Amino acid sequence: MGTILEVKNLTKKFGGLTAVNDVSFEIHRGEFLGLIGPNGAGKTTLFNLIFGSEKPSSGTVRFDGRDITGMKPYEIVNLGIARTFQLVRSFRFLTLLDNISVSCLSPRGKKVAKQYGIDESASSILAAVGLVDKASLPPVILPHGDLRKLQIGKALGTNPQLLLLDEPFSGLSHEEQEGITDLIIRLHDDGVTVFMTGHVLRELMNLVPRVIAMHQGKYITEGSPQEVANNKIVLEAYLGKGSEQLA
Amino acid sequence: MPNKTQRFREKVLGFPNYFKHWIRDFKGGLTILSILGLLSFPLVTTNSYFLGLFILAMIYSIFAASWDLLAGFTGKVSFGHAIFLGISGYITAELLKYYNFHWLSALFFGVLASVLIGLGLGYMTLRLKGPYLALGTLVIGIICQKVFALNPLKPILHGDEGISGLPALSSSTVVIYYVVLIFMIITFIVLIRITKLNIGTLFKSIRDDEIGSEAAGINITKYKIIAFMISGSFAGLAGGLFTMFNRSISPLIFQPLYSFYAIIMAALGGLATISGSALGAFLFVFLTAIFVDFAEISLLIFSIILIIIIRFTSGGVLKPALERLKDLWDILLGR
Amino acid sequence: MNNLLELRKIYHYYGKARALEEINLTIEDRALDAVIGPNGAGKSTLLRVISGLEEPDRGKIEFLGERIDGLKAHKIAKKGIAHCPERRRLFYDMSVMENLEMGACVLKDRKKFHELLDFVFEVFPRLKERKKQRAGTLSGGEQQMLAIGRAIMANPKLLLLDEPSLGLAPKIKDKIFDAVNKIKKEGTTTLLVEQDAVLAMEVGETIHLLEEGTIEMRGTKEQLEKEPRIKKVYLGI
Repeated sequence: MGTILEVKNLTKKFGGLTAVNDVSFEIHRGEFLGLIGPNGAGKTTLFNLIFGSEKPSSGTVRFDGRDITGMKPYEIVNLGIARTFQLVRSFRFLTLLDNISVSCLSPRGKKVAKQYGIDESASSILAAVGLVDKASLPPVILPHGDLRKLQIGKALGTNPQLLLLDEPFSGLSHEEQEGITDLIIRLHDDGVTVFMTGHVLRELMNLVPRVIAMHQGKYITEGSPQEVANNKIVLEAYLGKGSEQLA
Repeated sequence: MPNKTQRFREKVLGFPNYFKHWIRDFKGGLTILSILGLLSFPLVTTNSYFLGLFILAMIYSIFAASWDLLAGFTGKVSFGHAIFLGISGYITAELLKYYNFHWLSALFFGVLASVLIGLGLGYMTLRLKGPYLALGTLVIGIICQKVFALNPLKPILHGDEGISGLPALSSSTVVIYYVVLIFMIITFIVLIRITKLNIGTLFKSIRDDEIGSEAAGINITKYKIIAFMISGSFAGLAGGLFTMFNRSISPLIFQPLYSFYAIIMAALGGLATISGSALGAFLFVFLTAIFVDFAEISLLIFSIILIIIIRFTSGGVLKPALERLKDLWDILLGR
Repeated sequence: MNNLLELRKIYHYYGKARALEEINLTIEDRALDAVIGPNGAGKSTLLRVISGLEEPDRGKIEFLGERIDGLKAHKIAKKGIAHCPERRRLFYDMSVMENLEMGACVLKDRKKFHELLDFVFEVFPRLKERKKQRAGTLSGGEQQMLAIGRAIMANPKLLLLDEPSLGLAPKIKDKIFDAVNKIKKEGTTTLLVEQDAVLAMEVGETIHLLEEGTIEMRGTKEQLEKEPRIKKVYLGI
């Protein structure tokens, strides 16, 4: 199997605040891993550190055996990590097709896309996320769930080995959530390693076989969703002190 | 699966058909008509005042189009585009007057200098956004104006008198007209082509969402600088032509007013259209010419007209005008 | 039935993201209700929609029998709803006293000012000690006290508290919630929003469990404890 991502003693301080505190864990190739934690746990900061949007204060990140600590996001994307964002973003004035084409034009994406033609590759990605019939339209016409699918499509254009999904379910109706879940499962089946985080745990905890829990920047525990949800510290973090009776 | 050679052959063989369709298509037809119109204008009149107006408009349209590539397509709104005009203009003037270069080579080096300035400016403003970028570029422009006017630097930079008495490109205004026209056509073909290529899509992605573009694996630093260099090179072309047309240059070329000209003309015509810049430039030059005789009131009226246009045609004049003309075109072609 | 506040079929979106979906909520006069739920459930949005910082996209809000949805926030404040926002948002460069005075600016009856001030200092003696201190230099707990105090100075009929325990040490949390109890005893109706479910259930009479924009269940502390739903809502399983 092999380890695809290794995080060691990762720490990030913002002035007096330690957002991520000495966090270490591993992700195995082809895994489906979740990251949970209440507000302020450091989940998004952790993603930013892995993706290069923030530089760690100390610690290392290794991807596929290679030290990527402190690299810029576009370098990391071209090594094989892609991410989606909590707040949906899109290229507002480009068509859906062009939105995907941009990632197909990245150095890494181009290697694959050039064989079939950029537009054709972008088209097939749009089809994979179920948006191909709106290819020539701008993102503004899309409902929220489809915008999240578009984001995933954009990530796919760079041909990633590891996909970081930041809150893929927030703000979606239950049907929309199911649509995203199906898409994520298909991607995982195709061999993409998926690392996802979120506050909406209804879908997430029933989707991933393994979960890591964080609280106040620290790594708390990991295990199956059942194990983690019954962990005393995790319960207290989410529900308050003395919450065992609620378990 | 079609490979590269096959697709290239398809493109070449299909060109005549493509061209026919392009002309029948509204935009192509209009473009051909405009080019023919410009080409034949000197046949209508050889009055140097009117020719001069058109020459000025054509030079400005190159300038405005270069700005539109940077601002409309890459989202980098510069308030100091006159820097390119000036640097290129000074180099062109210097080489023409003091080193007896042929005008083409003088122009070439002026453009080369602009490319380098584009590189420098692009690098300096990498982290600046929005109002900070505008302010930064504005300030650099003003600094250039002051520096070039400095007395102690007179031996090199010619102080506030600048360089004058440049040899004319040609004794005939008509020749100058056609030279400028050719440069304008080349400029627009190149710039419009760029926006349609992959790199154009990348520029637009940077404009729409820099972080998203980075997350898509694009080296935004590289492309921002490239945009500055391309934009700068054409602005420099405008600067060199402007200097040769006026046969002189002074530090006043760096003043914010000229930078504003680029913005106004591009906005008038329509941002992110490239061709709109031509329309905006001609409109602007004509309006200024009409009002030049009417004393101070003219400035007021002129400004009001500008504000009305910009206010009510949020996308510039080009698109609404095109809509009207398109209907007319369809009628003419009997659709 | 004295319904101070009634929300009927409230929907709210942030752009395209759904934040609140078909919220029906009634709060009785002199009650202390709590809304709990995981992050992103819409708790803060709920308060913002009530106080007018956000206009609901659909539905009705009635306060004392009068419709307030669609009214501007300052008008709603004048009608007697005080919103103590998430993360306090004090006037950090002003003194404790000045902050309290600012809170009283909607007071119609200026005579009440001293009465209210005395009450605030009674509930939060620490604020009296630090009257002249700049709000930005207070500790987290003191800042929360000041935020609540500022809201009280408006002599509200309905007090909205958004996550008062956020970022506070357990001992201070207890102090804050003692104060909330005191406020309730004085007769002010309070709607409290909290992520800390245990704490909220200690003080709240009726607890509303919010999940992804809808109210999953409501009841008293005892009723909720019997159901395993709270854990499922917060942790997914």
